Amino acid sequence: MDYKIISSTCSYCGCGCGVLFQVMDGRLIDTLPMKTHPVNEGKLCIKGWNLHEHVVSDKRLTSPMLKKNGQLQEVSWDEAVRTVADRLTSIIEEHGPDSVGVLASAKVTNEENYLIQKFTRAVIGTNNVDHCARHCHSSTVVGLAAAFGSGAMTNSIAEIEDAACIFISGSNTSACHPLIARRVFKAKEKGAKLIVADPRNIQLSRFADVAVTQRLGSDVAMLNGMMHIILKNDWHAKSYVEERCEEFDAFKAVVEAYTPDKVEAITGIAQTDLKKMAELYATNTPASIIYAMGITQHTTGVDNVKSCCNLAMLCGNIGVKSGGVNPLRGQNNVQGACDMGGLPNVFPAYQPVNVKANNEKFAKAWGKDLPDQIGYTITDMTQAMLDGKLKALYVIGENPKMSDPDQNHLDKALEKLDLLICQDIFLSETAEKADVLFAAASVAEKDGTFTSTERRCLRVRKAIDPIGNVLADWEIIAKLSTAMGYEMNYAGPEAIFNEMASVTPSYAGMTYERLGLDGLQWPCPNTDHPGTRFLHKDQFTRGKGLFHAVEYLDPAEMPDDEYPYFLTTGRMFAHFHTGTMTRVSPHLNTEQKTGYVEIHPEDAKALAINDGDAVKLATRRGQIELPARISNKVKPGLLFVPFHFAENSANILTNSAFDPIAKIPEFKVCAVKVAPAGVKGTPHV
Amino acid sequence: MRQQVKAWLEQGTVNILLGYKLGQGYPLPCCFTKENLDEAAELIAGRARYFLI
Ligand code: SF4
Repeated sequence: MDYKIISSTCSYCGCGCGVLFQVMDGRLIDTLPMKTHPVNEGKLCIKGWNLHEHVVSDKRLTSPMLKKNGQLQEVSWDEAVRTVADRLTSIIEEHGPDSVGVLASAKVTNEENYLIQKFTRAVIGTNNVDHCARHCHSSTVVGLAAAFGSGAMTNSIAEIEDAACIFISGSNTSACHPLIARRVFKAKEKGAKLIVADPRNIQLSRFADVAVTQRLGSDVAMLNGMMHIILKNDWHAKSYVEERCEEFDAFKAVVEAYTPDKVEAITGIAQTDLKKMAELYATNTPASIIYAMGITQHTTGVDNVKSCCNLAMLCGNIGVKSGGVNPLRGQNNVQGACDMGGLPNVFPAYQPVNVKANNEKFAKAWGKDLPDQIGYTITDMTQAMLDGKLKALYVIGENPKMSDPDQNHLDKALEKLDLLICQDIFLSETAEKADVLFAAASVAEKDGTFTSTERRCLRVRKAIDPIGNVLADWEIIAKLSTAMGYEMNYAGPEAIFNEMASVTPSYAGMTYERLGLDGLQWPCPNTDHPGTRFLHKDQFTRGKGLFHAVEYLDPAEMPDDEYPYFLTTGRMFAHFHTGTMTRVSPHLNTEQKTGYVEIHPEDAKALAINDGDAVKLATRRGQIELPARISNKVKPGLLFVPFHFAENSANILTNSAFDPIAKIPEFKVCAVKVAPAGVKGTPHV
Repeated sequence: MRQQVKAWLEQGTVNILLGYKLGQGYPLPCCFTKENLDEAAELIAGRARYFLI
C-alpha cells in the first residue's frame, strides 16, 4: 500500500483554506482540513471537504479535441496545438492582433495567469486579456485604488475575530465564505457588535445587533445616511480625517443632504435602525467592513465601494488591525489573476500598460515589443464579437455562457466568432461550443500558487498524476506559444514563479521555499520581508486617503407595470459559480439538484403559487421556468434566483447594463415578471 | 519511539504505521513503511490529530 498526504489549497472560494489530499496507491481518495493552517485552523466548509470529488469525476475531459464535421473529436496534443497556432496566426495576419481576445482565469494558478497575459501581450500582440474579476470585483479594484491607492482587502481574515464591530453589507458570508463567517461568529463570542445589511434575510442577520433589508441597489443612500448621522453626532475621527485624508469638505457637503427621512424613502430602512447602525459602527473601534457582490455588481459598483471607503476613513478604521474595508473575493485565485495582470490595462502588480517605463521594462524582460493600447474588457469583447472586430476568443478555465449577463445576447456574439478555443477540466456550456478544446489538469494534478482574498500567496501541490491525456494549463500555454514562434521553455511552475516575482514588486520577496505551508501576504517586497497583514499603516498607499462625494443613483432597471418585481441573483452554500465543479460532485449535488426562485409568501399567495410549483420568470432579455421556493428570506416584491444551474440559468434574465468606469454588469438588480407555469410541484423540505 | 517504530517496521511486526512528521514546520500525517525506513527518524509526537482514510 502506498499512502501519502499532500498539502495544498482549496480551489473553490477565495478564503484560501489549507487542505490535505489523501492519496492511496496513486488515487486521490479524500480531502482533509489542515489543522494548523492560519486561515482555516482545521475546519473546512462542505465544498472543501468534498474538493477531491470533482477531480476524480468521470465527467472530466481526458483528451484535447477538435471540432470536425460539427462534432468534437479526440486528437493528439500536437494536432490540437498546431491547429490553434496556425489558425491564430492566420487571423492575426488578416485582421491584426486586436482581433484576438483571451480570457484568463480565476481558477488556475498565478504562474498560469502570468503566462496567459505574457502570451497575450508578447505572442498575440494585444492587451485584450481579461477575466471574471470584471464580473465580481472590478469595481473594488477601481474604488479602493481611487480612495486608498491599492485595490485589495485591507486587512487579514484572522483579524476579523478581534474587531469591536463588524459591518457586513452585500455578502452572504456564511454561505459563500464560510471560513470567514467563522471569524465573524468568533468575534461575536468575544463581544463584537454585528451589523448586517442585505436585501435578503441571510443567515447572519439572525446573529446581528441590527439587521436591515435595504431596497435593492440603494447602498449609496444607506451609507451616506449613516455618515450623515455620524457627522451630525460628532462621532467621526476628526484628527485622523484631518491628518490622513483629503477632500473631506466636498464629501461632507454631499452627505449633509442624506437626512434619515430621505434615506428611509430610498432604502426602506427605518430611521431608528439607520441611527443604530451609524452609532454601532462609529462608536465601536476597530470596526471592519466586509462586503461582496451585493456592493460591487451594480451600475454604481464603484460608487458603492467608494462609499464604503468614505465610511471607514470617516471613523479612522483604515491602517489599523482588525479594521479596514474587506472585499471578499469569490474565487480561489481571482486576487492572483488580477495581481498577475490578467486585465487589459495593467501588467503584473497593476503596472499600467500605457506607461512608457512599464512597457519598456516588460518588453526588455520578455524580449518583445509590447502593445501599449489598453485592451478590451470582457464587457467590450461581447460587443466587439457582434461588431465583427473580435474574430477569435481563447477561454481558459471560464464559462462565460453561464457567467455573463444577458445570455441570449452573448450566444449571438459567440456565434459570430471564427475561432473559439476553450481550455477546461470539464465540458462546460461554453466548451461545448468550442472549435478546439484543450483538456487541462485539475488542482490536484499540478504545482503552483493561488493568492487568496487576504492577499495571501499559498502553494498548490501536485498530489496525483494527471488523469487521462491532460496537461497543466501552463504546459498548454507554453506549447502553444512555442508553436507560434515564441519559445517558452520553463522547467516547471517554480521557474515561472521566479520570473514573475522578478517583475512584480509586491511579490518580489516570495520564493516557493519561503511560502512554506502558510504562504505570505503581499506586499512582500524583499526576501527579508515577513509579508503584510494589514495595509495603509501610518500612510495610505496613495499618500492621503481620498474622500469621494458620491450621490445616489437608481439602478439601471427599476420595476414597472410590465415587470413589477425586483430580481436579484447569487450563490447558495453547496454550489459554486456555474456549477461545473460542484454539480459533478455527488455530496454537493445532492444538497441542491436544480435551480429555484425564492418568493415571499404574500406574493406567492397573490399569484396562487404553491411551494414547488413551476413558475415562469421573464425579463426584457429572456425567460426561464423553475420551481418556486416560498420563503421569508426575501421581502414582498423581491425574487432571488441562484445562478449555478444551466437548465434554468439566471443569467438569461440579468441585465448587461454596466458601471461606466469598472464595466461590471448589474447582475444584482433587474425588473422581472412572474407567473405560474401551470405545473404543480413538490414542496421544498 | 523512533527506534522502536523503525525496529517494528524492519522486523515486520507492523507493515505500516500511521503517525506524524514535520512538513515545513507543521505536523502532518505520514504513513511510515519498511520501504521508507529512513523516514522513521522524522516521526514526531504532538497534539495534532487527524482521522485518516
Ligand atoms: S471556505 Fe472556501 S476555501 Fe475554505 S473550504 Fe470552503 S470553499 Fe474552500
